[in-house]
Amino acid sequence: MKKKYKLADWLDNKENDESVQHIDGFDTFQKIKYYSAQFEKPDFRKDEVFQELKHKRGSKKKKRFNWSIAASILLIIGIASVAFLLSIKDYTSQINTQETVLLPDNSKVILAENSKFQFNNWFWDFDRTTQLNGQAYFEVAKGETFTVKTQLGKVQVIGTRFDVLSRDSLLKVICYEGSVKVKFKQEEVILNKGQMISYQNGLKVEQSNVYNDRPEWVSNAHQFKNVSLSEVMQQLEKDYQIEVDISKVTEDKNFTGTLPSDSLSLALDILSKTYQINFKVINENKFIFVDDEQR
Amino acid sequence: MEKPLIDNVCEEKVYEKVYTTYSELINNYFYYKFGNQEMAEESVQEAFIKLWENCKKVPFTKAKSFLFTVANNLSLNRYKHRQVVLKYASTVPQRTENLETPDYKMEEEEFKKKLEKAIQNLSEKQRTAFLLHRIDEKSYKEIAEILGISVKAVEKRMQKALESLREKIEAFN
Repeated sequence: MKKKYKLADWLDNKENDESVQHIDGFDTFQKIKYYSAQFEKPDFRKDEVFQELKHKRGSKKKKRFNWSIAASILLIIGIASVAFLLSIKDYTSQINTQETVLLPDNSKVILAENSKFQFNNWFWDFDRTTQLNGQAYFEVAKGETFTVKTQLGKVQVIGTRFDVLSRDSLLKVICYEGSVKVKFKQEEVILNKGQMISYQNGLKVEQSNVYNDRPEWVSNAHQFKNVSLSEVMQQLEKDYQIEVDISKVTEDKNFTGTLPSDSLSLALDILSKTYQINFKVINENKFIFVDDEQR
Repeated sequence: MEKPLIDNVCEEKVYEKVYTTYSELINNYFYYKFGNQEMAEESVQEAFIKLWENCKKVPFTKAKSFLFTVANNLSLNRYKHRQVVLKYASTVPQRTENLETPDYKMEEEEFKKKLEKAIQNLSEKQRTAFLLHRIDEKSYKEIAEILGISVKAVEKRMQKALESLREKIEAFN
């Protein structure tokens, strides 16, 4: 039986010449076998290739290593900044309006007209930092350092009431209670109660005393125009956290005028005189209005 | 007692040993396949970089088959295939006693040229198997391993290569 790949076996020296010499072209096969064994191996720069390889391998491995770390760092930064951005609260007051912002720790900020105010809701417990562009009056709850950053300078306090104005090139800080630290460029100034400081065009312009208790611009009064008595009372209840009973009042004229939001006795007095009604104090937080019997 | 060889290709020494043992074979394999030395060296590097990246998963004994598997799967499309150029060793024992007549010399040179040309014109598969056997002196079993085919298939390829070479050489006459 003829083996299937006899020539292959012969080439591999598993068969001797005799067993294949009857095959057509044996002479040529023999020459092929003979001369093909004389080829030289290709030139292989074994050592150089290894050096190059080590270099590539090193940098490649390093690169991969770095990529994974870079990716995780990027991811963390990404998540953090998204969280940060999501938790930023932005307030802008329009012209002719004031806006009151309550911060997470119950610090109160009243924005003057045309002002921009920003703080970070989620990170508030770690960092009480706010940004202001415009003017605002602050009543800061006690706690960690409270910072107001403006384009011109920084105001730091612990717990106090103060007003910051930062518009164009003017920075003005007034302290109404406690003390505040104003950082302007390299300079640091501590303001105590009733002191103010202002800078313009990068220079200190004024440092003096103030005598009022709040900035004049902070409106401490409510204006009513042709509003029913019950609506006025609702506003009063809101402003002073009280309960007012007017079920016994027969007067139903609408009210036009101004009521203070920082003096309950004055507000009650104005109302009772306007409507000619009396009020009885049930307790600290509850009042009943009744018709004036003398009328 | 001698310390047993650490079976870890991540070990620089072991890795280097793998390189020493197989790099040339991989290089030659690619050269026979595509005739491009630059490409062959690149293939060696690619295969060994892959080995390094997977060194924890590949034990020393599996390194060889890993390298050839990777090498066979490399796609190096950016290189041009060229003609395989081979050199005959300059000092070889002469064929028989004293046949060095000028005529014989001429005939021999002519045959050598024909053989090289015939090899260049072989199919990639036949040429690779044939040259691994003739130049690198690899057994059919080893060639089967390198190419990822059976020994029987290697035998068939060798047979076909021989027949094809004879045909081409005789056709040049």
